[in-house]
Amino acid sequence: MVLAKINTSSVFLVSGGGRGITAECVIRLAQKYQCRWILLGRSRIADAEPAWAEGCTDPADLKKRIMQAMQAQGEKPTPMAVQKQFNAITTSRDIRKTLETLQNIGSPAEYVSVDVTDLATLKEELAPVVDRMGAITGVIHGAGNLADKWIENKTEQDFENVYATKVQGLDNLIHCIPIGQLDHLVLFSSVAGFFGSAGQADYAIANEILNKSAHLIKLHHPECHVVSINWGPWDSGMVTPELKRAFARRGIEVIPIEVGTQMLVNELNARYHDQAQVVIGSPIVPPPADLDGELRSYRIRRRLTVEANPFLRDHVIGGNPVLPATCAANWLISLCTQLHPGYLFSSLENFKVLKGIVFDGTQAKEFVADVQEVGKTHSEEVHFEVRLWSEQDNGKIRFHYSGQVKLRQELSPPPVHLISKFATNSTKSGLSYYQDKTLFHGATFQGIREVLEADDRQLRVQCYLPSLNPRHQGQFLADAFNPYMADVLIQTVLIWLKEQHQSGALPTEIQQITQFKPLPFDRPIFALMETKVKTSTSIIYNVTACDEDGTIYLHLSGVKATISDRLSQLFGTLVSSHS
Amino acid sequence: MLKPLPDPDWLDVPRPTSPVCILTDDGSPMTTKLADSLTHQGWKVVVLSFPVTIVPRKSALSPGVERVILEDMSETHLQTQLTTIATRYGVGDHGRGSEIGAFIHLNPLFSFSRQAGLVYDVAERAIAKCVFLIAKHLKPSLTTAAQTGRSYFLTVARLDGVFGTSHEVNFGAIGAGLFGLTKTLNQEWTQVFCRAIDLAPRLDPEVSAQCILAEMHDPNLSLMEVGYSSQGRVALIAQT
Repeated sequence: MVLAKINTSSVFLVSGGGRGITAECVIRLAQKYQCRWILLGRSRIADAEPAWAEGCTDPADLKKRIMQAMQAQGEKPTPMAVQKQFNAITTSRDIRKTLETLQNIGSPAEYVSVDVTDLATLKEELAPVVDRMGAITGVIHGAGNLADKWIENKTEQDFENVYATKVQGLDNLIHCIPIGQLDHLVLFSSVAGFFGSAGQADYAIANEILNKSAHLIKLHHPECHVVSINWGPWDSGMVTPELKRAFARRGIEVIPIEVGTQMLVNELNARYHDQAQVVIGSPIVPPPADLDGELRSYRIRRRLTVEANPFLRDHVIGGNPVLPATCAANWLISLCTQLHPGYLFSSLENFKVLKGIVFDGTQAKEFVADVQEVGKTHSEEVHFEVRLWSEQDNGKIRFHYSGQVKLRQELSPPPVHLISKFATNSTKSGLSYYQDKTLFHGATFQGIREVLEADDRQLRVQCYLPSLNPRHQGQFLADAFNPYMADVLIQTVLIWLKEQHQSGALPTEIQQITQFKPLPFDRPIFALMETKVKTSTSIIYNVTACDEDGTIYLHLSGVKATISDRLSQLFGTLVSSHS
Repeated sequence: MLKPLPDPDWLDVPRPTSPVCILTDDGSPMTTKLADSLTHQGWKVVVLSFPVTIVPRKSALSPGVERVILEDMSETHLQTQLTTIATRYGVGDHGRGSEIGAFIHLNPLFSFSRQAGLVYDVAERAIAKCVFLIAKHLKPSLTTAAQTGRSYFLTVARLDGVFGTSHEVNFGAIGAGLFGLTKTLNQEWTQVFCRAIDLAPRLDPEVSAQCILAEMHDPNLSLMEVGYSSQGRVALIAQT
């Protein structure tokens, strides 16, 4: 397939292209390609401005002159009538400016005043322009209408107006110009469609239809470069400085005109020929819901199988898959974060492995989590008590895990601890520990890459895990908390014990997991493991994990592990105990 | 891009205090199956059927499942029928508008031949507008019901089960609008459980009903749309 490139003889038809953001996009493309333009808009442009308006750009002054002119003609200058004339004059000016700019660039352009929702007139008006400009090779559907209000205040007419410009408009455009003749078809959609947008139910509907229309057009015309662009808010007249500040507080970025128009140019690159839908910019999502004072309890069930959780095959002890403690922590944590969208995992305290889940064929099919909200503080923090249990065949309850989860609207800024800076030359490959079965973990969990330093108190390692396919993560997705990287941190104790000629160990308790940022895949992480208390049967240690810049992601404090010879045997090797 | 999702966990939802569930009739056995499952869960199911000019067939209903018919697609008639449902079947706290605790829209299957190209179907457009107006008029009921339990606004479309990204099925484009509506309501009605579901047209009615029921019990409130197909359960996310 030969992909068409835009050149000086390309002819683009642009709805809503006379002014505003769409016109800015047209100008940017014209600068790049000097192609030909047919711009459509509902507004009429006056042939010439009345003499009294010429050169007057100050809004207040212009309005004053409109009033005077109306009075001179014996008309009553109501605020509405004045605004109408004012809009007509400024709109005409905007459109003329767009056309002038295009002319200066060397891009031939014509403006056609027509409503895209009116098929008959559209056809009629387009025919003579196409005769002059040449056959249309690309369409940009930028026209749109808003009727922002809450759903209960919407009218049927709001729906019709907003829907018609976007959807009927597209339908009409492709009725006039068969898609088969188009090299490019660009639909201006919105993040309102992709993420939803409070106050814009009709607009979201229309834009989602455009999004899926792009996919359908790709099905019918694979040769056409069709793309629906879900634009975030632009830094234009529509966004006031106050709104911009409000957006900034909520982490919503506005698209600078320079950047957005260049993104469109990039999007039309043949490289992205098969990308039917893109999102450019931030979603306009409301801040997380305010917390009411009520403390709720939830009972949430999960069925567990090894088949649905392929990673378990890389966590086998004594022949049976065992749920890693960090995955159980992830279970407790994600139940809480899912109940409070917008809130982030901050800490897990008093996490206890009461009876780990071993997939030996006798395990329960269903596990039950009792999630209890125990505190909500100044609408910023939610605390939970979570207990996970299953019912045995004899009807008795068996508790598996418990802990207290804290979510916060904002996490404290991560502290800095430069673990990596102390790197020595005497590093040892982490892989050897997996090979000699000091670490029993399979590929999913083989994240200790280098042992940087080990002494009788601590161990420093470099860790890394490549990103894991979500299907492989099964029911334990590394979203709110990455249990796979966290397990790698837990593993450090096994290397330390081995270096101290000790047996294997498994975690039974973590006093506190504090998260500043979720641990990433695909990125080197440095971890410092420090032993706190060590007896012949147990060890208590801390682990701090940071990136190469020293930014701390996670801190584990008071990890308690049980040491036993039997574990070493189960791991697949006997560690020679020193006598 | 598509993000694979595991099967949802199951939240034990207490028996709704506003137990009327309005279910639109897609004219297929899916309505029958879902109505039965919901009845089994403790809901009083009222099936709302569209005029024959819009959806030619009406699904068979089991005893105990009620049917209310829209004779035309006007907003006033819709309002009348919604009021009828609330007064006739609602056993909630009358006068507080909390009789209806759930609304589930099953969009009829609009599937076209490849030759038909991109289709904006007139009937599907009428349905989309009707669901938009239903949302408008059910807002008081659903938001009030949310104060005492989980209330629902669900839309079920049959694109291709992967949000239209398969480029294999010529589905009706207007059904896609339901996702925009439901995601918006999820922001406007923070206490109401809103979810848009895309089911592959080939999914069996029984399986489809189970999927919808499973979604209704999902504890995850950050998920707004979900698809089911031979690729499993998926979400659509923006690649960064």
